[in-house]
Amino acid sequence: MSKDYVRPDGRLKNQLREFKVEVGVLDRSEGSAKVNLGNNMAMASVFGPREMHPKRLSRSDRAIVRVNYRMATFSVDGYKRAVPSRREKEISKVLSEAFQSVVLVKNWPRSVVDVHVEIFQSDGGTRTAAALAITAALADAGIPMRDLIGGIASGIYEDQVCLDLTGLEDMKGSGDMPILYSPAVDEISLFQLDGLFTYDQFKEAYESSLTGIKGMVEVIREALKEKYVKIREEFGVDDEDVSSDDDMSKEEVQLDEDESSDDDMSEETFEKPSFSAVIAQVDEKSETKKEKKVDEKSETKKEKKVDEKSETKKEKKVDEKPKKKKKKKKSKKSSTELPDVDDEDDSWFTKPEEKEKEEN
Amino acid sequence: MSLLIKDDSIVTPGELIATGNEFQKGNGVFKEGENFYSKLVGVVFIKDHEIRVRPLKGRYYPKVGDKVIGIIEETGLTNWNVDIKGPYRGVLLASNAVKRKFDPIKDDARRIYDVGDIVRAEIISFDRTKDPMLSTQFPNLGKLRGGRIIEINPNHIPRVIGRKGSMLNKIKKATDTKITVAQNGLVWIKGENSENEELVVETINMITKQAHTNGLTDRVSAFLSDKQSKEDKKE
Repeated sequence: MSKDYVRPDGRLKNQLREFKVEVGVLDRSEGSAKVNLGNNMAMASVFGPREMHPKRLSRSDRAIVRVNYRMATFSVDGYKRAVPSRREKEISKVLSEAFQSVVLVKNWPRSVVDVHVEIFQSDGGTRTAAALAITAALADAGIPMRDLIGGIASGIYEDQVCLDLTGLEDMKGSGDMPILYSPAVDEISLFQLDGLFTYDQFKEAYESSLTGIKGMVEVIREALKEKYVKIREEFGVDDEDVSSDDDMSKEEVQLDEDESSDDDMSEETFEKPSFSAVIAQVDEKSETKKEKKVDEKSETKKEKKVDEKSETKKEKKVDEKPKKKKKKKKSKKSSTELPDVDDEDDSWFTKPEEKEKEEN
Repeated sequence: MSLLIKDDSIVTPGELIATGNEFQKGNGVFKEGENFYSKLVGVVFIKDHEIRVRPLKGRYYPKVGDKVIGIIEETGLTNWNVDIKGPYRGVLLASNAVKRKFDPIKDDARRIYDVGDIVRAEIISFDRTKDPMLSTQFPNLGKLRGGRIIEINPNHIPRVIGRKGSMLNKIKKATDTKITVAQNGLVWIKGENSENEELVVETINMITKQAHTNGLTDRVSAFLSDKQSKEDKKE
């Protein structure tokens, strides 16, 4: 009997509502997403990472993910008061903490990633709809994360375990259990339970939620890729030859290599302690690799200008990290004494001193 | 022990790229056990067993030695706060701004740089605990006068420059403008007239939109020559 049970809106027990994600819907934010989950509609926008205001809320070792969850006044039957309610503040806090665990916050100490989610239409499970919109928006903003987060609210309606409750089922049902889960790293970042579940009911709800979330995350992944794939298709890209084309410009490769030397330091910090052994190994490897690279570089490059640069770079790279800083400063001071090789026309610059002279 | 995703394909955070110990992690990738996952929405780039993910979006993160374009936000007696479009504000001290000695009693900081001025500066020191320190003492740094500024995604700056500056030189030649590209995603353009400047803006917007596609240089030169022939017809 329980398998054929049909819910008020015609769905089966573990059937999800229609789920649609659209990414990059707002122009002025760093990243944005719109999510339609049945009759729910949530829109999220991401700003930052940027300076934290007020300053006292910032942490000196990490960024804060500050979620602001709001429901529009017209999002419910009747009218919702515009003042942030207790419920809205609670969901904001809970979502902030959930996303703090997947966003690689140690990349930008002392700063904040601001996320605003607005619910325009609500029909049960708005906090999971909001979470889905936030993940898509964060990923769209190019913020490094360990994984995407998916979310489903399951519960008990007429003694049946139902997946993805509607507003009606939520009101009349006897249990409600929203879960936020990251499939790739296999972590639960939010778990709330309201009402009474037997052990079997809980197990059923939990397991079907996780399988449902895996499907939802795949939908988000497709939505995130879609806009880039579309542009690629438009210009008929063949994925085969990459290195031969102009794409891999030398400038770009150089830049990237420079980054890697700096990034390694920060990356160590947010890895889990259990992987420290692995990191140590990788570091050794990467160091030897760098030395090799530097050797190759200096041999191949013949131009004077480039040679000078690469030599200074070489010194920097081979030296140990604490020494590095001193060296850098020294090399810069010496560079001011050397005559400038740059043949670029710099007549359009007015140097500050010259301006001073003019004015005096 | 295998690569699960093709080189040059687009990945999302938490997507499994490869498994096995023969690989190394580069930027945009994290490792758990033997699995390599992407941290970002970006393009996979594999070279010498090193897996990297190049971001398609994201804000500028300061780095020592970068040349940036900043907007003066606030002036103090002996320092300026500069907006460099990153998570931290740039600090420009008077001693780093001018070569001669700066005396706060005699000199007025506002006469050197005022609020709203655009400066090209170099980051001379930055770490996780301190805000980036700027300098305008080195050659080719200082106030930028006239022209216009556009903000683009800093990840696409290498594409705008091109291999050894090929793309940038092509645009400069075709439009007869002066262009300064900064690592923080701001581009300063000054041309003979506003039409030329607008053409540059259009071209750069096109590059940033198609940054993850191949054969971009050819398309840009086609675009530029097409525009020029149209202008010639008008005349």
